Amino acid sequence: MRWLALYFPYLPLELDGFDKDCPRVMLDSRQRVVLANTAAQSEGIKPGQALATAQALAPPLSLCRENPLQLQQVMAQLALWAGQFSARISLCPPQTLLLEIASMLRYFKGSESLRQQLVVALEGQGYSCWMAMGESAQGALLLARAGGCEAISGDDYRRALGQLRIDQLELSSTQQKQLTGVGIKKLSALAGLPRIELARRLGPELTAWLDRVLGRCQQPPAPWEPPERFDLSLDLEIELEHTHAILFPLRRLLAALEGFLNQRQWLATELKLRLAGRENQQAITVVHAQGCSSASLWQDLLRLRLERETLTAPINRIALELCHHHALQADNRDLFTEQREQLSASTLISRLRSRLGDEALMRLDQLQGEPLLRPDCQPDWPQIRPSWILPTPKALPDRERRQLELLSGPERIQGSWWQQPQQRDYFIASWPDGRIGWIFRDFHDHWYLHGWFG
Amino acid sequence: MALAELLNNGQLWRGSESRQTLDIETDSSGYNRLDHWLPGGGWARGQLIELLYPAPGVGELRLLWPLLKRAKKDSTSPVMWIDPPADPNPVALQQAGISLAQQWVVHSGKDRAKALWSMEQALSSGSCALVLGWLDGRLPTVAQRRLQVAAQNGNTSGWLMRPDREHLQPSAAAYRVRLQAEGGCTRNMLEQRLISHRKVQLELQKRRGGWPMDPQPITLCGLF
Repeated sequence: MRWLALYFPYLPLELDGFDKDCPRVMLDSRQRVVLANTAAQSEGIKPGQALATAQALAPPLSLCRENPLQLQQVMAQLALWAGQFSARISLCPPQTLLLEIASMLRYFKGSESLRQQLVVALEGQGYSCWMAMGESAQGALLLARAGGCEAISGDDYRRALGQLRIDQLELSSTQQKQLTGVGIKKLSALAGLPRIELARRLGPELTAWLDRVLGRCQQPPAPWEPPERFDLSLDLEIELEHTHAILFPLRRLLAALEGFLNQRQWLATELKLRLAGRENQQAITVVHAQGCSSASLWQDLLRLRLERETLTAPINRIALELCHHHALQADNRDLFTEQREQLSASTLISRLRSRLGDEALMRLDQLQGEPLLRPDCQPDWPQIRPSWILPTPKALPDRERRQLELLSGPERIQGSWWQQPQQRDYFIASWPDGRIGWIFRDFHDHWYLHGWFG
Repeated sequence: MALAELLNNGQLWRGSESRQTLDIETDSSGYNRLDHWLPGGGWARGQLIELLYPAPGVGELRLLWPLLKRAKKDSTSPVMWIDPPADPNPVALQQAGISLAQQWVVHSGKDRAKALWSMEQALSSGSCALVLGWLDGRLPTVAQRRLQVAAQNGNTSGWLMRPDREHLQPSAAAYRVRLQAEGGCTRNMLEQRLISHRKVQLELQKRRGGWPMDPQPITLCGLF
C-alpha cells in the first residue's frame, strides 16, 4: 500500500474561501494569536502574541475565531473532492486527509503527475496544503504535518522520515521527555535502538507505534464513508451582498461535487443552489440536458445564472444540492473522426438558458399554441402558409389596405381560437414595394395583418 | 504563407479575374445562379454573412430555405434563430421540408448585449448547423468583427440579418448581400403559379474572392 497525506495547516483561516494572500490570524478566548497564515507570518506575527502586537505589525489584519463545526464541514467537502483521486480516503484529525494511492498511480501516470494535479486543484480552491507520500499511513501523516516531503519512496523517503525530530512525532509529553532525556533527538536514532530494550524501558506501545511509522506493520485507519446524497452547505464568515462574490466559495462546493460524481461515475443534470441569509432564502436551479461532471463547466453555468439574480438580502450560507443525475455511459466515440466540436450542442443550450432564462429558448417542434401553427393540426391539402407569424395580428389601416394587391383568397378559417368562435377570411396580398403578406378580414369587416412570406 | 496559397484560398485575389475555383470549403447556396456568382461555388464555410433587406416579407427566409433543408442531414446540430422579428411558422417550415426539432428560437428580451453574446456563443461553440441573428440598429464594427472571428473559430456560418438602411455602414462580415423585392405582383401571376418562382434583386456588396456585384435578378424558391 502507498499512502498520500494531505495536511491543511492553515485550514481554520481558510474556511470561507477568501484570499489567502491577506494576513489573517485566529484568536483564542484571551485575544491571543493561536494561528497565523503565511502572509501574517511574513509580517512577523507569531502564535502567542497579543492581538495589539499583531495589529501593530500588520495593520490590515483580518481576524477569525475557532469554528469546529465549520472545520468539520470543510473537511467533509475536501474528502468528497478527493474522491476523484482515490477510492479509499480517511479523515485523520486534525486537518489531514489520507489517501490510498497505490491502485491509482497508473491512472494518474505516476506519483509526480498525481502530486502536480493535486497542487493545481488545491491552489485553485485557495487551500494551503503540505503533502507527503509514504509507505506507511502513519509515516505519510507525520511527514505531511512536519511540513511536507517531496520524496516518494526508497532511500529518500526513509532518510526524510529519519530526519523527523522527536517533537514532530506526536508522542505524549512523557514519552518525549524520556526520549530527550536519554539524548535521542531524531527518529533515525530511535529506530536504531534494539526493540526489546526499547519496549522494556519505554513500554510496548512505543515499539508498536514505531512499527506502524516505519511500515513494519500496516494498520490503515478506518476509511471514510461518503454520503449517499450530495447536499453540502458552507457557512460564510462575511455576509455577501452581491452574487458575483458567491463564485469563490462556490468553487469549493463544485470541486467537492466533481469528486463525488467522478467516484460514482455519474453525470449531474440538475443542481440547486440555495442562498440563505438571516431571514431570507433564495434558491436557483441550473440544468444541463446531457449531464456533466466538470466543476468548471457547472461553475460557468452557475455564473451565467447568477448574473441574472439579485440578492434580496445579504446571505451568509450557501448550499449546493445534486437534484438529478444519471450514470455515465461508456464513451464510444470514434477515435479517428476529427473533433471539430468545441462545445456540445446541449452545453451551448444550457449556457444560453443559464444566462437568458429557461423561457428564452424554445424549440420549434415544442410549440404549444393555436392549432393554426401546429403542423399536426393541418388539413391534408396543401395550404400556402407564411413563414413569419406576428404574435398578435396588427390592424391594417384602410389607406394602406387599398394599395394592396390581393393575390389569392379568400380562404375561410373557422375555429375556436382563444376559446372564442371566430371566422376569418385570409388573403395573400402583395405590397406595392414587392413584399408579400398574409392578411385577413374578420366578421366585422376589419382588416388585419397576420404574417409575412419571408 | 506563399503567395500562391493566399491566392488559392481566396484571401488574396487578382482584380482582373474572379476565380471560380477556390481551395476553401464552401456550402452551395442552393441556387445555381447565386453559386455561379460566389467564388468557390457557394458560401465559404465559417464566415459571417450580412443580409440587408428592407422589411420582412421580401424573401429573406426563402433565400435560406436550401441551407436550412440541408441542415437536416445531421439532426443533432441545432439552427439558432436569435431575436427573429416575428415567430417563425412551424407549418410553413415543415411544408418546406425543414426539420423543426433542429430549430431553436432564442429571445434575448430586446437586450442587444445578450443577443450579441448569444450569437457569439452559438457561432464559436462549433456545434450549430447555422446561426441566424436579427440585430437592428447600428452595430459597432467591433461587435461585427467579434462575430466574424467567432464564426471562423467555430467553423460555423452565421447570418446577420440587418435592415437595408444600414447599407452604408462599414461591415466586417465576409459577405454582404442586399435583397430587394422586384416591384409588386399581380393576381394573374399567382394563378399562373409564377409567385412560386418570384424574382428578387440580389446585390453582392462584398464577397470572398471577387469584386462587388451589382443587383441581379434571381428566382427564389416557392412560397411553400
